[in-house]
This record gives sequence, structure tokens and C-alpha cells, in this order.
Amino acid sequence: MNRSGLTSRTMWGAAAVVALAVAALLPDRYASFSKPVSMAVITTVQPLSEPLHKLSASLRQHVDQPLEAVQGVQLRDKVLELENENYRLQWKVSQLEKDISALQKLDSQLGDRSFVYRRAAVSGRSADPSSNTLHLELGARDGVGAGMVVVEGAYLIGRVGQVGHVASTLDPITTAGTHVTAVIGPFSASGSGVVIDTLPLAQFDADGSDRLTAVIARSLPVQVGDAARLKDPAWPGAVHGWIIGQVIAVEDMPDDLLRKRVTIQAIMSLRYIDAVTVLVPSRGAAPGEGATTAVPLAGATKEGAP
Amino acid sequence: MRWWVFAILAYLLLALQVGLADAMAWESPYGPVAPRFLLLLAVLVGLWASESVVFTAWGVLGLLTDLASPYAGGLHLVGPYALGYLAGAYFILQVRPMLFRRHPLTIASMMMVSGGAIHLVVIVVFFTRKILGYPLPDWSAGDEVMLRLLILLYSAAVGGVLSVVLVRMVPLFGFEVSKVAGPSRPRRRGEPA
Repeated sequence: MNRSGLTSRTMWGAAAVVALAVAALLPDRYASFSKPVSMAVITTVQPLSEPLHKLSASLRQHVDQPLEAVQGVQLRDKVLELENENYRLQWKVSQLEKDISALQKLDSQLGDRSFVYRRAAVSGRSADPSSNTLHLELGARDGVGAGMVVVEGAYLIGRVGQVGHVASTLDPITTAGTHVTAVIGPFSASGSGVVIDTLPLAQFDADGSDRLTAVIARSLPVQVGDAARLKDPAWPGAVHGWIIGQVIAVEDMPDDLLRKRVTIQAIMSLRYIDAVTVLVPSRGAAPGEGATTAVPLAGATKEGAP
Repeated sequence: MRWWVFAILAYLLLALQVGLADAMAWESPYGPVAPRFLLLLAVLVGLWASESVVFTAWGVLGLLTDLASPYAGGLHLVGPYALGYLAGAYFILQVRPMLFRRHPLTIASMMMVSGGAIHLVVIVVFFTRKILGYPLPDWSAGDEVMLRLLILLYSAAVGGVLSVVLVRMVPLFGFEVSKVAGPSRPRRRGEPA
């Protein structure tokens, strides 16, 4: 009897397991039979579970606050990190915008497209304290050649000196012993309204500092603040009219009543230049006389030009 | 076993499980992890009750869990947890002779182990449904394994603490301890065998 009862229980158990397995594996459309029972169970539990849930919801608000605070700290750190990255990128963008602006200005000034503009970082300065030569991170590999004009913004800086494969030197226009012819006229960075052929010429000599001096006729209308613009046949015509300095002093010469001394100072301080633009002739034009015949400045015109 | 005690406790713990799930849940990459209180009652019964009572009680708790677990799309399934609880009952009956039943760590570890058996069966059922062509929406076996493992850990931790109280309620259940095999303390002098 006991044995048969045990067998019967086992059979019932096995049948229950099989029934549960079948029910568990029923397709969705046949599994809805348990829905009323299920809802009954949920409804039965609801009187106790609902207040607990409301309580838990109110508790959760307090519990969540520290969690949010932690998340807030993490977010703040992330924001700071992104801000730093943003500042770094903004700085890079501003540098690139500066380069683009300089190149666009050059483009408008050198309208004939005779030059390719090569942006060159200044990598150093000559170790000899008597030399103010700068090192550029451009060389023959980049098409840079000796004597090419180096500018920055609207200002003429100098010429390329020695050229290596990947580096070169910049001889500023203020290098001692440099002789350069320029005209002196009203200062205008854009060159608008300046007719360089009508302006008085002067032969400037560099003394090794950032200044150049010239002796001109006392009758010429030159005053402090005027700009000295290149007009030297030894330089490419395309850069004629470019500013090489600003008049900082006009002095009478006691031993020469007919002349006066004009001192100009380079506007761009070489000490703070981090990059310059090298004008590389685009069609292999030699960087010398007659290399190009471009309009010198957007607003500055030669005499007789429209 | 006094079934009315079991019923009241089952009701309370099911309500706790349903009502406090949000309060006690923490988010994991696999889903919200909340403790399972019914498992605690099941383990308590499984450690103290007779074999037939254990199977019945665990089957009932499994059914309750099934019925209180609606799925997405209005699906209600009877069977996965019921089968799982039966498997868990079988497992705990096999190991309980080796256990010191009153220790909270025993209850916590049994929640882990027998709960593992339960969830393994549930995963197998859902995986079979997937193979048969009617899976639960967005169901992934890998994620389910991880989620349920975390739930078991959490449940065991909570259950270990609550067991300190529940073990003191064991006399209320009226278990027939003499029918349950297991390690016994040394008999004191004069104590009947």
C-alpha cells in the first residue's frame, strides 16, 4: 500500500513536471490561459505591495540624490576634461585661422598667383648672439630656395638665407649690413589709397638692431608714424609696396642742412614670431629681379595703374 | 508544517518582492538587480521541512513567482519558475544533510546554490522557447545569466541578513524536525536519544 502510494505520488509529481514543462513551452497565443490567475495573484498582493511601492518611490528620491551627486561629479570631471580639450582645439583653430587669414591676405595682395605660400614654423634662433637669423622648419624638400621672400601678415620680414633639405634660415631685413630701398608714406596696413610711385624713395641701412636708418632730403614730407614700403629692384616686384617698418624718428642733421635722418623700426618683432610665410615662386621663377610683376598691394597702386 | 504561516509569509514576502523591487534595485549593464525574497522563504522551508512538504512548498512558490511575473506583450507564463523551484527543491534536499541549518551563511549560500538551479532551469526554458520560435522580446541568454547571477548575489546578501530574524521564527512553522536528516549537535548527558 505504502509502496503503491509512493509510486502514485511519484507519478503525480512526474505528471506535474511534464504539465509545467508543456505550459512553460506553450506558444504565446496559448499561454494566455494563466492570465486571470496571474491577475488574481497580482491583485491579491496589491494591497500590500502598492503602499510599499509608494514608500519605495519616495525613498528612492532620497537614495538617488547621492547617486546623482556622484554622477554629477563624474559629469563635471568629464566636462572639465572636454573643456580642456576644447580650449586646446580652439587654440589650434585660432592658429590655423591666423594662418589662413595671413595666407588669404597674401592671396589678395599677390593677385597674380605667382607664388605658393609656404607656412614655416620658426624653430629657433642662431646661437651666435650677434646674429638675428632665425631657423625655419622648411627646406629644399618643400620647394624653398635661397633668396625667397619671407613675410608675415602685411609685413615683409626678410629673405631665406641658407637652405637645407628640411630646414632653412631666415635673414631678417634688419640684418646688419642690409641695404634696402623703400618709399615712405602714410601708414596703412592694407595699402589702400597709397600710390607708391609718388612717394619719396630712401635707401635704408640696417645696423643689426631692429631698426633701419636712411638719409633723405629735408624737404620730403616724412613724419613719425609713416610706413616704409619696399621698392627695391633687388626684390621681387610682387612684394614691392610691402611694409618693412614704421618711422619712429625724423631728425635733422646738424652738419647737413639739406637732409634729415629717418629711422624706421620693424613692426613685427622677430622675438615673438612663431611662424612666417615663405613665398615660393609657383612657376619656378627665380627669386630675384623680375621674378614676378604682381600688383603689390590690394589698395596700393603704381603710378598710372587703374 | 503549518501552511497558514507559510501562506502569510509567502504573501508578505511576495508583496515585498513586488513592492520594494524599485526601492532596492540597482542598475547593472544587464538590467535592474533586485533581491528575491520568496527564495529566502523557500530556502528556509527547504532546510527544515520534510521532503514532500519541500517539493509542495517550492512548487507553490514557483507558481506564485510565475503568476506574479507578467512579461512584455501581456504574456503570462506558468511553468518556468515552477519547474525551476522544483529543481531547486531537489537540489537543496540533496545537500541539506550536510548543512548547519541555523547559520545565516548556510541560508545565504543555499540561496545562491539552489537559486542558481532555479535560474538555470528558467534560462533553459526561455532558451528553448527561443529555439522553438517564440522567444521573449530582446531576450539574450548571456545577459540573462549575468543578470540572474547578480540578482542571486544580491538576494543572498539580503537573505543572509534577514535570515537572522527568520530563523527565530522557525518554531512558528511547526516543522517536523525529526523527519529531517542532518548534522546533529552532541547529545547532552541525560538527554534522550
